[in-house]
Amino acid sequence: MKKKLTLFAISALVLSSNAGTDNFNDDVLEAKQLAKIDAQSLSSVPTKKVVLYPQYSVRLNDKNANEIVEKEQPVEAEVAVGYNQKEIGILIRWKDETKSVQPALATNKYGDGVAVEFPTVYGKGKTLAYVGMGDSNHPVMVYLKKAVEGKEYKKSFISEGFGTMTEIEEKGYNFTMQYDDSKKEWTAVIVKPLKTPDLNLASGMVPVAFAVYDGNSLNRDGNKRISSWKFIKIDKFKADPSYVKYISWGYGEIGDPARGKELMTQNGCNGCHRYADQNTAPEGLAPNLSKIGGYSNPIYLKESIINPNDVVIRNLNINRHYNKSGEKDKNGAYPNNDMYTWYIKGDKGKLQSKMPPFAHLSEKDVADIVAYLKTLK
Amino acid sequence: MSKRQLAMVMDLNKCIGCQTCTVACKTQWTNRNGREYMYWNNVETHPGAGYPRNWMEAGGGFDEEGNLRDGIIPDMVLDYGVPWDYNHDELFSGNLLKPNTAPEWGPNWDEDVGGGEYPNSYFFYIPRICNHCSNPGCLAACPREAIFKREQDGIVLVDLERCQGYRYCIAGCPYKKIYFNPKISKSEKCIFCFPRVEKGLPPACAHQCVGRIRFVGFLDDEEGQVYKLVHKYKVALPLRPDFGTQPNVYYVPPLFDPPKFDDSMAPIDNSRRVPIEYLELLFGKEVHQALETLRKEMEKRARGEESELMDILIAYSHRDMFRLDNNYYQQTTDKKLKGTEFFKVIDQRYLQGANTKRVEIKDYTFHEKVLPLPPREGGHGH
Repeated sequence: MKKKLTLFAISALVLSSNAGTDNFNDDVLEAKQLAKIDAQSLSSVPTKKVVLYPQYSVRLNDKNANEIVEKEQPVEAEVAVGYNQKEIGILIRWKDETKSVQPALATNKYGDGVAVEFPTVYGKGKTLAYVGMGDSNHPVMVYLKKAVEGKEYKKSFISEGFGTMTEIEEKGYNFTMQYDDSKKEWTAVIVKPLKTPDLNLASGMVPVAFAVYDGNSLNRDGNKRISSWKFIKIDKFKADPSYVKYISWGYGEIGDPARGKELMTQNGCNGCHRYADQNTAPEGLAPNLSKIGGYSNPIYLKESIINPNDVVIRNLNINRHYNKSGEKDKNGAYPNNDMYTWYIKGDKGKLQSKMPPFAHLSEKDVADIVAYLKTLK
Repeated sequence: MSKRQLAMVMDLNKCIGCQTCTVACKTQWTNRNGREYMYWNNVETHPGAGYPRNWMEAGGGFDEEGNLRDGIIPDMVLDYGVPWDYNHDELFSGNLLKPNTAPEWGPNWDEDVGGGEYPNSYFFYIPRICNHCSNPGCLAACPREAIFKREQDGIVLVDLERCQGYRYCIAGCPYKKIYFNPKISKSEKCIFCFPRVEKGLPPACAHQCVGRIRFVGFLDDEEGQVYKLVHKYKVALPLRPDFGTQPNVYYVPPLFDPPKFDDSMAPIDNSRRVPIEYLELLFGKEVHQALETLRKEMEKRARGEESELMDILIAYSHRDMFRLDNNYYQQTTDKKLKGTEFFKVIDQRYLQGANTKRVEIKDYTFHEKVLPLPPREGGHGH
């Protein structure tokens, strides 16, 4: 026990010294050209640190998991990327003191797991997707690997926001995960084609995000740790300079976080969102921003403020809240409480965010607010 | 949420805890691996921990404002009970019969324990299936919209293609009537026997019930006994209405517990062993009115007067107890089967009540084909 505590203390120290890096280059993963891509060749590629933070935008309804999520710490992963003419390979290594495999005979045990996410639309003139499962304007591909007893659990999905993840079949990719008992760490390796009908990764700057699941913390679905968008730099292809300029906005010192917090109160952000010590908004009325800085890129935060309609996030489930003062139907069912939906359906089914655009804010105000949001992790 | 709603009423005064319904359901639906531990239908003793253990304290459902409450996911060993096996083979070597695991809990672990102190102990049975709620907690909890409520009858089902086995539905259901199948990593639950219902047959649990305690029908069918018990006489009440999910399985509360004994072991007039507070907890404040109506109607009948309610509860005929079809499903059912011998026979067999003649068994039946009956020479008929 004592040993564990020391370990924890050390890792916390390491985190606090590194988690605060705020430099675009830290978010760039240099892909190395390899003749053959596999676990062995990827092991020789220098790794980069990626920090994954507990996902907080939505709160699910598992009491035990929620008690743990309050105390969850960020996780550090080491990531290496390799590529060749046909394939791209990513190695993800992260510490996990408890190896959890979902057992074949249990109802409330979960397996450790890892997911890799790519946007299907990115590059010149494209905005960044919401990192947790994409959004209605930005479908994402998610590759998921889990430790499950007695079967290989490897799935690929396409997703446009919470609850929309739909399994699709992708041929020709491999996803493995191995636990090292002595080092207490998982190593996962995904090797996939550079181009598939759904996803073209042959580009100079490819956004990618990671999630890890700790079975011991009852992690699954939205209960996970997630990174912000990282960017795979592939030298063989040319990155569009305007895109690089766009995604690298907002790193470093961009404004005054204290003033940003004041501006948020002045602009009524805390009327819908919960964050830091601002918890007066009803739970679930809008995405929770308590850890938003950990898994959001600065430019995404800026876009979300000035143009919320670009990244409309579906509710997790519109049936979670009933309007008890509404008219029951003849079978006694209450209507849903619209107050909790985050968007309205416009003509032709287009989703419109309920959040008004704050495009009238000055460049400085937006920068100050983003500077503050970046500290929430 | 749905155009029509199928519902079931269970008369707790007639339930004898025989588990025929449990077995009917189990034998019909434990047809793939991973379902062994699940009891879509179970009969539990009240007061008691029930199945899964202490489900009433496990959260889920909706709070006063109509927001989904957090819940927990029961443990297979401690709360459901692992289905164990016996060492039958070892009996031949003189060993004693014992389970192959040390069971910690199981359905009916506390059967017939009940509450109260001797000589005033008491208990009654509550059979439970999925309530096919109007505001299902499982559906509200699912982050993947993998649970849906059928338009035509309000039956709540899991879309196994969309289900990813996250198990928030289990936390969200206050009755803990949706289960995780660890073999396929997906949630499964009582389906109100929809394949039977669509053919005009009641769910297996209701059909097999020897106490004839179950009535099945549509809530908007004013001629049906379900409607009369729930809406006309208001003697059938949902279980734990405070959970806020609007269940569609209704219970006629128990009325026939014996009187309490005083210190000299003499029965106390007009006393009840089952505390009314407990019945209030289970069925809400309406339980007073329901019990009052039942008493009045019984007295009426005892005086020799007519009582429609008593006639319904006596359950003379399956035909009246199960009003499923009335051409409702037949309009939408598989045209190929309609009017065929198979469909007709099934239908006739369902329509048989206690007072109808036996239908001649046709040669499509299993034992006529496979096990020809020996010629009968007196002795036991069948």
